[in-house]
Amino acid sequence: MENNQETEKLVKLLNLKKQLGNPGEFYFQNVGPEFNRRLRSRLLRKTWWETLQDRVSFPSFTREFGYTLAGGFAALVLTGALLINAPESKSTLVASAKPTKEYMTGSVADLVSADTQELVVTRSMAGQPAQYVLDPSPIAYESGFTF
Amino acid sequence: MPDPGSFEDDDKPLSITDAELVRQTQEGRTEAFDELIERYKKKIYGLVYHMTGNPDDSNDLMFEIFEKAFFSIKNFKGNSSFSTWIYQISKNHVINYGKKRKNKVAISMNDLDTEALVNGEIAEFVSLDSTDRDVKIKELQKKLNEALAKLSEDHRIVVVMHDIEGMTSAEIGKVTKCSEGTVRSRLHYARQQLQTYLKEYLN
Repeated sequence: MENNQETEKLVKLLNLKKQLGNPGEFYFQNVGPEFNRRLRSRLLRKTWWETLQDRVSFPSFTREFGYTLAGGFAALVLTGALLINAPESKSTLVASAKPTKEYMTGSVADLVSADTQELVVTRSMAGQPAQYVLDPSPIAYESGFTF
Repeated sequence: MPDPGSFEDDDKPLSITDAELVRQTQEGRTEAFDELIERYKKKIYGLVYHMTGNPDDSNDLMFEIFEKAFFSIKNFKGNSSFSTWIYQISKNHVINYGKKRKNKVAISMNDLDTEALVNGEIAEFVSLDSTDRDVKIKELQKKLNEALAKLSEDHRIVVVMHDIEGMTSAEIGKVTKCSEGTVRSRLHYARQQLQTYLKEYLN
């Protein structure tokens, strides 16, 4: 019984708190205009990315879309890692097989750019005016020499 | 005079329902959201203020809640009423605020209009003579805020919504996403705790 009375009194006290805490009517007069002012200034501060996020929504695909993005990113990272750690590729071998400048005369060296892999300069021709032949098939596809 | 902060204080007939205003806002008519602000500003402020005990922060929090509601209203599908939805946003926002400001129970009295109080109601709890009337009222309010701050957030929200804002257990259950039984049990426990903290005013 005493407990009920105490509870009743407590409820009255809490009701009183409401009167003590709630500001008067004047306090709420400018809430609407103030909200619009804050909203405008917030929208002006927004980055293009935030604006895009607001405009484009993925109502039921948000989580799935996130998973897809994460999966794609993981696949990209994995591919990158595999490529970096892969053994020297054929294209690298071809590049290293390019003739060095000591085998070329000046005129040929001028002609041979870094990526003209089809040029083959023969050693026997070193004293003579430089000649070169265009290899009909890429070096990488030639069969190995047998002795 | 109707109670400005209570849950059911709609003293004038509403020609347009909340659901209709929500639909209009979703279609881009921002003035419809202004009307929703008009309807809910006191309720949201009341909830925030009684949860935080800080009128200065309550003002900013109220605007932040309305901003949050405005930006996410396009995702509101109407599975619950707008009032339940905005109370849920408010509850979560206030709880996040509480986590950021843990152990900082700020009690500011700047905006209180103690003149507007009904002396009779106060007199039941504190003796009011002319000299220290305001001091005593402020002391009472400080004690009330401190007592509420001692409760856990789950218990505080229930007691604020039920005993201060006048919401029913069913409504609170929807906002807090728990059963009516849980709401009643939390309310019972919260009241017991408050009775201990506020003993000097209840005897």
